[in-house]
Amino acid sequence: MSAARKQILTRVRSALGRGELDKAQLAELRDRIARHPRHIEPAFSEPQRQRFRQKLEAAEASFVELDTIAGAAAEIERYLEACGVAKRVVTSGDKLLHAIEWPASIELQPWVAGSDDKVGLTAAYCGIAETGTLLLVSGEQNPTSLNFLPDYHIVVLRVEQLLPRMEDAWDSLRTSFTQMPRTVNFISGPSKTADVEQTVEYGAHGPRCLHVILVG
Amino acid sequence: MQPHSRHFKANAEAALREPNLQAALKQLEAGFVAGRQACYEALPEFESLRDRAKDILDDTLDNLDAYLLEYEARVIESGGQVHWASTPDEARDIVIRICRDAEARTVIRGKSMVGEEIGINDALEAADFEVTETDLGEYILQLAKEPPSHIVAPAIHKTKDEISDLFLDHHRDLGFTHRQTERGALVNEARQVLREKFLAADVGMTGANFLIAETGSNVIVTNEGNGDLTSTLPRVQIVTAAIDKVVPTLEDASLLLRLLGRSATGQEITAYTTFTTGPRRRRDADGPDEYHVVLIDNHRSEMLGSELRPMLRCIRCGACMNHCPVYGRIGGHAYGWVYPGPMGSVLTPLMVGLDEAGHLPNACTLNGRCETVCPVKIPLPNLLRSLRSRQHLQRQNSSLVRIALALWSWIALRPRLYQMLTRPAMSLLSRLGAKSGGFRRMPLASGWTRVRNLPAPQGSTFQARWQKQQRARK
Repeated sequence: MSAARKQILTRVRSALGRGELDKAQLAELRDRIARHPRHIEPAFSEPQRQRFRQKLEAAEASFVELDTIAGAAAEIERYLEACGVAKRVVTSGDKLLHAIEWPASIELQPWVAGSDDKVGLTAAYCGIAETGTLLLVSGEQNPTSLNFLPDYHIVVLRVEQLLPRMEDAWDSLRTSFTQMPRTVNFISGPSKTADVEQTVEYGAHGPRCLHVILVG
Repeated sequence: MQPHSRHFKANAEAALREPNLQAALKQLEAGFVAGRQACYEALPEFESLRDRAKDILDDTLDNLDAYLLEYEARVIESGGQVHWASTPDEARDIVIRICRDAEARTVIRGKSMVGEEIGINDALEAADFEVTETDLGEYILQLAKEPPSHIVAPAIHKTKDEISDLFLDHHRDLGFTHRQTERGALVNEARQVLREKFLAADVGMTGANFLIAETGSNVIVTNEGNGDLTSTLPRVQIVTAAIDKVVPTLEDASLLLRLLGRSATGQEITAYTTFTTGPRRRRDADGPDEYHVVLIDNHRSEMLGSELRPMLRCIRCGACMNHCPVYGRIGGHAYGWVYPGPMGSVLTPLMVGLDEAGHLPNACTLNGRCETVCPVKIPLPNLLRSLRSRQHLQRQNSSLVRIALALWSWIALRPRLYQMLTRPAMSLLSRLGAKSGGFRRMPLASGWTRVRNLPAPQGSTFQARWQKQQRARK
């Protein structure tokens, strides 16, 4: 192990006026991590669905609610027409999106790393009502760059995937995965910056527009 | 960067005469300050969140060695590598070695204050790497060859006009020959230029808002999404982070995230909050092949062992500077190094030396606004006071101040003498100033009277009035 590592740990322990933690103390610390206690979770009274939508819309995301996933293709076509963008969509391989029946008028493209496609379609792992946030995880079917490179990012999720808070998402991830996915993205609106004269402009580096389709 | 904090007084004078800077600073109140206040009022739990955050961070610091080792073990388990650096020199060497081993040529950076602290850009350029900042504010400053003047909004002092000129100068060769004057067009031009850099880069460097001991993750908070492209597209990712960034669990990070955005920019949550853990997995569609973390001490272990330990709770939101009347008048560059405002006035003397940065702890009115808004309750005024004491004990303040303090304490320790001297002086000043209510000139107080009147005392001394009142009660 490196000399710096040893030095830093030695200095930290001497600053704390002790040596290494003993076995019992270390067990207690690991137990604290394993229990991962929740803290204060701000209350909200409105229904989850309503809050989720309000918060996302307040962050300049557009939002549509559909009864079934079957309507998603028509909604995406409408959205692209309204935005005046070519109907060419790069979709992730997430199984939620398999149920979409695509008309011939929309051209589907496979994801290719680093391409300059304009429209990306992905599925959220879950939604978080407290802050109006989409949670997306990386994986074999879910490239992270698809959440950031296209100008238009369309995200689909089902009502059952809505959770109250970030802490609920952690519990869900702990159940679904044995290890944290490489990337966990919390997305709460389109990309923006206020670096020019403290004034907000959208579309800094990530998507200029975020469109959320909530199904169910 | 080379510190020039010793020139604080001259820097501050110059800043006061800088109209663009003054206009930008005036906007702080309506922007960040009002935004934080609105968030504060909308969240009844805000104060209890602050208390809990303080407790969690104190507990983490009490066990810092153990949490760092837990974190390190999880990073290694997830396929990443952890490097330790005591000094900025060591940190720079490690980063350069990783880049060389990867046979990299281009490096893109997401905004990182610890990256500024260790001067990584200059070091990489000196080692012949092409480095590009990707946070828009940092990119503007890279073109202007200036340091950040705010830890959250680094280019806050730059006007649209200056940015238009900079972009035209630097982007002309890339085919952008039209001088853009609209904010949106400027942002768009930077987006296009930087997109190419993102796609071509070999190494992506980011900082970390938090490190999670439970999972070995690093957390990045942005609005632009530049940090995400930086962590995702290049084949090597390097995270530079200070040792005080570690927190135990994901839940602990969630609590701190509720405070961070609100305190920094008045946002409940930023557009992007990202947890990254190790390199891409075997089947992952994208992500870097290598993931490195450089853990940097740079005097933090010293702070841990001193009365300045609470400073290590800092989550770098910038609320202290947004609310500071001194920062609000002079901006960040006057402080002469990487960290400005109240947090910078504590950190800079510790990192570059009290002899270089001795003015900073004194550039404070002790009004306490910074402590009131600090999301993790750092007693900044007390820490600054304690640095002033260190200065005095190490005889680093001016001899005039030392003589004046010695004289005052000698008199103040002799109450009779003190009263004998102050009572007649107060009554004289009170009579002289009775008509105008103040003085335009006063011997020994020209520093004050040069820019404002010295108010006349209202009559007798505090002690005289106190005694009178006590007598009246009896």
